[in-house]
Amino acid sequence: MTRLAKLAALLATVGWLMTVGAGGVWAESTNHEDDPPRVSFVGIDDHGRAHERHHFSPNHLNTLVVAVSWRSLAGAHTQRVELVTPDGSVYQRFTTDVRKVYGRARLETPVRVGGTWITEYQIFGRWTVNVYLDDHSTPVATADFVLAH
Amino acid sequence: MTTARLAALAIGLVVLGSSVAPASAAIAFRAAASDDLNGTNPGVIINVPTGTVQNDVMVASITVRPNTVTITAPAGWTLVRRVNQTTGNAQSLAVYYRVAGAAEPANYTWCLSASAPPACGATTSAGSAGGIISFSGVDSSSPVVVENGSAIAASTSFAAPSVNTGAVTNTMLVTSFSFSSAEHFVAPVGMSSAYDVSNVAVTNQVGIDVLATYAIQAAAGATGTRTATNGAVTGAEVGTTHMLALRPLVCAAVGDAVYLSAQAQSTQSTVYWSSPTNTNVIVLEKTSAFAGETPVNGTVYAAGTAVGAATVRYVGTASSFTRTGLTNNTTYYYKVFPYTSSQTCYASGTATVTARPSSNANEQWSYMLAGGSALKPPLAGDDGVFFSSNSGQIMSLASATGLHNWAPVATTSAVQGWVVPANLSAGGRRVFAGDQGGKAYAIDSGAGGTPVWQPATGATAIQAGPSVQLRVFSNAAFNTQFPGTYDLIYVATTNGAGTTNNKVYALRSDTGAIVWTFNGGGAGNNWSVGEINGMPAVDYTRNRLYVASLSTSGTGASLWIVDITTGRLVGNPAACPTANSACVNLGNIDTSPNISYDTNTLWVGNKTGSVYAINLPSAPGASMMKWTAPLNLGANNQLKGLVWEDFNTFNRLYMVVANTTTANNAIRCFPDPGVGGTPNAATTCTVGGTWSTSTKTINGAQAALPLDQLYVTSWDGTTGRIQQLDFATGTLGTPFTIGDGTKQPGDVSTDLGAELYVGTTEGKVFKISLPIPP
Repeated sequence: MTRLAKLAALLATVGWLMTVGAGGVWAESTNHEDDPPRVSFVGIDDHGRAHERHHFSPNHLNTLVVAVSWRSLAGAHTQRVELVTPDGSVYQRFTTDVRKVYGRARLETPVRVGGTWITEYQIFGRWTVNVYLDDHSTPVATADFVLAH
Repeated sequence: MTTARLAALAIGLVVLGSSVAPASAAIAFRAAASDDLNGTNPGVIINVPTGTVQNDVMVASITVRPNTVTITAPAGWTLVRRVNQTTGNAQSLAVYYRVAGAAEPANYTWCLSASAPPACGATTSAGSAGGIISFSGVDSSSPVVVENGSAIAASTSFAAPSVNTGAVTNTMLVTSFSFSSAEHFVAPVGMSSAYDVSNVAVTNQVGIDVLATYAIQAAAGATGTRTATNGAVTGAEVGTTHMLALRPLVCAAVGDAVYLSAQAQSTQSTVYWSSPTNTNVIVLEKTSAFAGETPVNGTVYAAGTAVGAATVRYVGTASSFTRTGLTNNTTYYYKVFPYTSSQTCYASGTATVTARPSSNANEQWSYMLAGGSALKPPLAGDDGVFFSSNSGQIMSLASATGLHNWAPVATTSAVQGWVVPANLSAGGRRVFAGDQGGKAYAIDSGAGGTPVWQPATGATAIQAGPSVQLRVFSNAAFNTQFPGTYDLIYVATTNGAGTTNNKVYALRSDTGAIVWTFNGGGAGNNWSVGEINGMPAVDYTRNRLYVASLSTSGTGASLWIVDITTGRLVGNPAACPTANSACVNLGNIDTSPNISYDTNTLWVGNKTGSVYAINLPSAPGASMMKWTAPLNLGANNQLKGLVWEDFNTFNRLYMVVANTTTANNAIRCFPDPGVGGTPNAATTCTVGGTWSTSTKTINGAQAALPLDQLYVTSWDGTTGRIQQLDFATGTLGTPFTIGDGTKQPGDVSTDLGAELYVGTTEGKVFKISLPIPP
């Protein structure tokens, strides 16, 4: 298995957290609505190759990685990622506990696509991803991606 | 990006709840009431302020002259401080608090004698006045942070003393001012006046007056004084003042509901939840989507009260409640908020579930599990119907009502394969499932949904539903190879993008122990197997398991013929793929292969539009391909789901064909050309009824189920429907709209052929009785 394939397999297994600048003391923004995280999407094809974009073809998309980059996050938190189908339904929720983060943090949530209900039932179109922090009922960030031929 | 930069790992879990940081409830003024013009009555009678609810904190300020009068408080009131002014027109100010209970009286009486309220004794005072303020959001377990009082010498300026709140922020300052004159005060700057009452009509210098004010103190530490002045300025007078700081309620994390679901039938619904950490819940209802309506920490609500635009429909400790009298064809939205009984701290209520009672007689019931799509509808067993969803719960419902048979069983991740019920050969009934976290499940469907085993197979994920081989229907070779009474459960893995280590485990139905592992490693059992997304097909006749997978790198095998008695490939090929062997490359396959009624043909379709027929009596071997070439479904098409056979006409096949443009999805009727035949996609069905063309386009066709007609779920981008297609002619009947039609349907199943079960993207499944209007 190639190194990239191993990473892809790992991403397909776990939501992983990458911290940058760990060890420093960061002042957390008390209002993440003013400093929302950046949401990006990485598609991993059936062969483990990764591509970052907002438009994906379902033909070879095996796994979609939802990457949430926080710029000012401190301490322990819970991040919830909610995938909403083009018809406005909650497709799936992923919760990740974040521990001992200082400042910037990038959390990646792998979402299986190939061979799942998404391709089986052709749930194609514009999807929405909502990101919530802790118990907030309002998303701190929202982003779209398109899944279509 | 390297693995060395991975600082931590956090497993992604599919859960509704989350841990939350402590949240502070803002203290808010609720209401005030007072006893004005009380004269020299022997008691001060004050109404409970309007709108006061349980756990509100009430602060009472009672003033009386002279200072020697005994004040006897009503039961349940705690004296904070009594400040006496013994000089001049001597008087006294007493401040009390009380945490409101579930049922407060209309009023409280303070007796100005040693007698007990409410029957106060003889008049002993020269005048009295008082009032009550109610506050929400106060820490009812320790309401007062700090307090102090002061006796004021004759003056026109009355300062309530500063207090120090220490580290406590966002307190509510409550100041009380009294002087020996029936004149009103001018409230301190920055303070809101709650009441200012005198025992006799102002202005009268022989009376007594009390003013109460309040304001939020955001900062911690010393508050500074607050000074009221004699508004009438008729001269200096003695008085008393008091300041207290109320402590805001600070709520620790409250666990959310583990699951939330709702069944609906005509004019009623039943809402279900589970709250493992706090048994108290309130349920809010709306007829439109929630827009931030949440209960306020520290506030106790009664059923029927409003929370913003929502209404409290249930308060209690049960795990479900039934709403009757609902309006059909209206969507009701529900949120459940578990809360702590001691402090009334609420969970965040992140999940919403909807119930839509229907007037349509065919829609017997619907059931929604919040938190994720449920596109595989229930499968029926002897103990009920069973399904799961992306929310990570396995459900059992009564088929007649859609109500719970047993509490949902949590899984570690989404379950997207079928939840398969089975009557075990050794007796007893189970349901089997696998989740995207790689765990397989056996649940006793007849014993309250008791999990029997959950083996750690080592799979990264399981996408397909398990296949079950029942001993009672198996042949002698199977029973010889596997003596005992257990059945075998086949679980296939989906280990991730580009993986080549996918496996099939044969598990004992009784223990979950692994009997064998296909592709488990070692000589003759170490292959490059891509992800397996379809259910393996069990061939009871030949003791074979047909497994379809992705083709690794496009060149690997994708159809595997496994000997059930050994877990190895039939014929022990030396390499894979090898033509005409037990491991052939038919292209990437992510659907389930299925076996014909006569058990002689296996159908399987790949992602590039080819459908293969395997001649099972000759497989593996040179004649294993039934047709001279695969059926070519055409550009941008691929087989969707299973190949269905006509019940009456041999070799007449139906299949759902997906097109890259979903509007072009279609149902095809295809005559199997037989062994050695050459399939032609354009050939129309003419035996057993004639179709005008081989293809019937159904915009967004999803899945099909042959019963008296071919029932096809469809989603055209705006409306979810069940289409009725006549087998003989291929003509479509009147479509049936699923629920309100706004959600995309997935698969379709049945129990006895007299009903359909359908799943949808919003996590709602439907039971629809047949026939539906033609």
